[in-house]
Formats: sequence, structure tokens, C-alpha cells
Amino acid sequence: MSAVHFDLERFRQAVDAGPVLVDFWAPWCVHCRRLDPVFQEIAGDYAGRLQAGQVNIDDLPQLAAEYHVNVIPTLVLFRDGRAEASLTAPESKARIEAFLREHL
Amino acid sequence: MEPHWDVLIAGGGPAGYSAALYCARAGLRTLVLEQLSAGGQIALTTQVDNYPGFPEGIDGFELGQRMRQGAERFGARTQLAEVTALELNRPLKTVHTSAGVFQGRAVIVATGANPRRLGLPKEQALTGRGVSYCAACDGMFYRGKTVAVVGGGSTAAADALLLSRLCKKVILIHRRDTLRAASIEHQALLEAPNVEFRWNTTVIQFLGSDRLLGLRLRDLLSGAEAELPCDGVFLCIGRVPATALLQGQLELDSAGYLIADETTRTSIPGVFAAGDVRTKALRQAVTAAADGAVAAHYAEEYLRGAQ
Ligand SMILES: Cc1cc2nc3c(=O)[nH]c(=O)nc-3n(C[C@H](O)[C@H](O)[C@H](O)COP(=O)(O)OP(=O)(O)OC[C@H]3O[C@@H](n4cnc5c(N)ncnc54)[C@H](O)[C@@H]3O)c2cc1C
Repeated sequence: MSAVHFDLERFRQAVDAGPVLVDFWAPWCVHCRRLDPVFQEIAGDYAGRLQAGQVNIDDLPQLAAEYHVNVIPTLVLFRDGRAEASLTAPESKARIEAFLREHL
Repeated sequence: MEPHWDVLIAGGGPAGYSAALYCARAGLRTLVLEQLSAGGQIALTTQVDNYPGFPEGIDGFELGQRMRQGAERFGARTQLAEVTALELNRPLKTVHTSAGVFQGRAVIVATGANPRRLGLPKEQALTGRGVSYCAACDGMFYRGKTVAVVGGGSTAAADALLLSRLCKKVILIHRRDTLRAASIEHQALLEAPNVEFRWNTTVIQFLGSDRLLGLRLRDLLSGAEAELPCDGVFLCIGRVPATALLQGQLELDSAGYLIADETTRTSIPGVFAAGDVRTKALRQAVTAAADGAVAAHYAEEYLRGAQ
């Protein structure tokens, strides 16, 4: 189970359907690449409880603006269609797990 | 708890995966514990031109992935987990992580280094909100803006030069009145029309609450203070080894590096230090990889003797 690539439509559908963890990233962002393997593992570990998806902010700058993502990588947890909490540039998988324990 | 491993390796940078490759090829059951992703610091640069064997250079992230694949091809395993504590004194060593407890007969510490912080209030909160430690990583955010670079070493010079090509204006702030290394970057910097120097100056405060708005500076000669508005600041003031977990267990030098000679042996038998964490003259990917090979060699010798 790996993370989905969101376009605008799939993003809207997903956040309406249940909890979603979104990784805002861009191809030129080196910290984003380092985060990717861990994000894919999180997608697998939390399958069934949480959908994990990625938004390329170069393709969807309107989403980055809408959710005030000024820095990437930023993970945003959506619940009931709303941005519930965010985490910028986590330095370990453990940090993301702690974030999800607190907010999910 | 799982059955124990022959070798546990803390950190999956060039040192960790080189050690894993050599250990696995020696037939040792080897596990790498990495908190984020393979490659460590080298994964943060898109162009590595001084790792032999890549005449066109190679992307650092890709180099890290390849190091991991090379080690796993011979049976080394990876667990993405943060090491939180180590008990190293008994023959069977215990490593606590965010993904459970692991035991191994030998431990190779390859946790590398992180950028040094200035240690001022709000630094953590503003990191990623104007405060950065890596121009190659975050420079793109400051295209057309005004940024400051703090430091006087070769990293500061290289970062200032890189930023001068992206940004409207770059202000280089240094404690002394000249740059440390008379590097290629040095001349180019002095000639760049949009680079300004503030010599004998230090940063004493970050201005702004949600986002960095500027810096408060102190002139070290006159003591005069002034504010410098800027959109970002890049701190290039050296690195600190990731050895906090080992304090009180292994011998560290005054800067926090693990004391180990060219054999990579530390003050505890069966525990080895490889890469940027160790006291050494040159901290680069190639010397980290070399350390990994040496650590694997002495770990194997230690394990043979311990049987
Ligand atoms: C921006 C940049 C550019 C560079 N460019 C070059 C270059 O062009 N050529 C060159 O030769 N060198 C370059 N270097 C230096 C080079 O990256 C380092 O010398 C090398 O990566 C050191 O390798 P290492 O394995 O010792 O440590 P690191 O690369 O620091 O790897 C340590 C690993 O351990 C992990 N870790 C740390 N603590 C824990 C823990 N508690 N639990 C689990 N895992 C942990 C980290 O996540 C990391 O992946 C560059 C460095 C930077 C920052």
C-alpha cells in the first residue's frame, strides 16, 4: 500500500471520505525526497485507518495557498474535511508516528 | 523481542551502509537502524562531484539509495526507526528504538552530524519559517528576496555564492574581518554586485514571531546594535555530531565527537564509530564509506574472538 498522488478532484474526494494525511512536496525539494520512503511506510502501516496522499505544490499551488503551506515538506492531517494539524519537515518516522498518535 | 543480530548499525548514511555491505558480505546478520532515509546528509545534495566512480557526478539521494541496495543485495536489512537509547556495556548489546528493542553482539555507531544551531531564542520555532541551514535545500524559497548568511567558512562562502544567483541581495555576516578559506568562492563573492559583507558582527536576536522578519546584529568592535530586515537567514556555522545518546557511555572529545582512531574502535569493546561522528581530519562521503569498511573489519574480528 503506497501513497496516492492527488490531483484536485481526488484530493477533494479523499478529504470528504475520511481522515487523510497529505504530504505537500515538490520535485526540487531535497528534504521532501528524504521524507518519501518513510511516508510510503506510514501509508502502509496506517492503511484502513487513514488515507495517505501526496500533493505536488508546483502542480497545485492553490492547495498550498489554501492550507497555508509555506514550507515543504509539510504533512497536513485532514479530518471531517478540515485541516486538523500540520507537521513541517519531520526528522524521523518516529516524529510522524507521535504526531498521528496525538491527532488521529 | 526478536532473536539477536550479529551487528546493529545506528544510522544509514554512507558510513552505515558501507559498514552494512561489508558486514553482510562477511556473512554477519546485519541490521541498519535509520530514522529517515538512506544516505544521511549526502541525500540533501543533488550533485556529488567528489565520490569516485561517477565522472559526471551523482545525485546524493540516489547515491544513498544505491548504497542501501548494495548492502541489501547481500542480506543486510533496514528498519526505519529512531534509536532512542543504547546499553552497550554487556557482551549482548541492547538498542532501544521507536520500533522496539533490538539486540546485537556488536554495534556500529554511524549517526553522523547535524548543522550547528546558533542557540538563540525562537531559533527552533522559526526553522523553516525564514531560518535555514542549507542553501542547496531551501534556497529556492528565497528567489528574488533578501537573505543573510551567517558564517565564515567554506560552506558559508559556497552558500552565499549560490544564493547570490537566486536572491535580490545577500548579506554575509561574520564574526571576524575576513573569510577563513581563501577559496574559489571567495573571489567570486567579493565581485558579486549583490553581496554585502558585515564583518566583526554577530546575530543576537531573531526578529519576527510567525516568520522571520529580520535580525538584530551587534558590531563586535564598537558594541553598536542594529536591525537588519531580511526574508531569510542561512546559518552555516559548522556541524555537531549526533552523539547525545552516547554521552556518559562512550568517550567523546570536547566538541562531542566519538573518540576513535583509524580502527574505529571506541572505548567499549564491540562498539565502533564510523563516519562523521568520529574524531577525524576530513568529513566527506568517501571517508565515511571508508570508515564503514574498517568498522566492519574490526567488528568481524571482535566477533570471532568473542565466540
Ligand atoms: C548539504 C551537504 C552537502 C554535502 N556535499 C558533499 C559532497 O559533495 N561530497 C562529499 O563527499 N560530502 C558531502 N557532504 C558531507 C557528507 O554528506 C557527509 O560527510 C557524510 O554524509 C557523512 O556520512 P555519515 O554516514 O557519517 O553520516 P550522515 O550522512 O550524517 O548519516 C547519518 C544517518 O544517521 C541517521 N541517524 C542519526 N541519528 C539517528 C538515530 N538516533 N536513530 C536512527 N538514525 C539516526 C540520520 O538520519 C542519517 O541518515 C555534504 C553534506 C551536506 C550537509
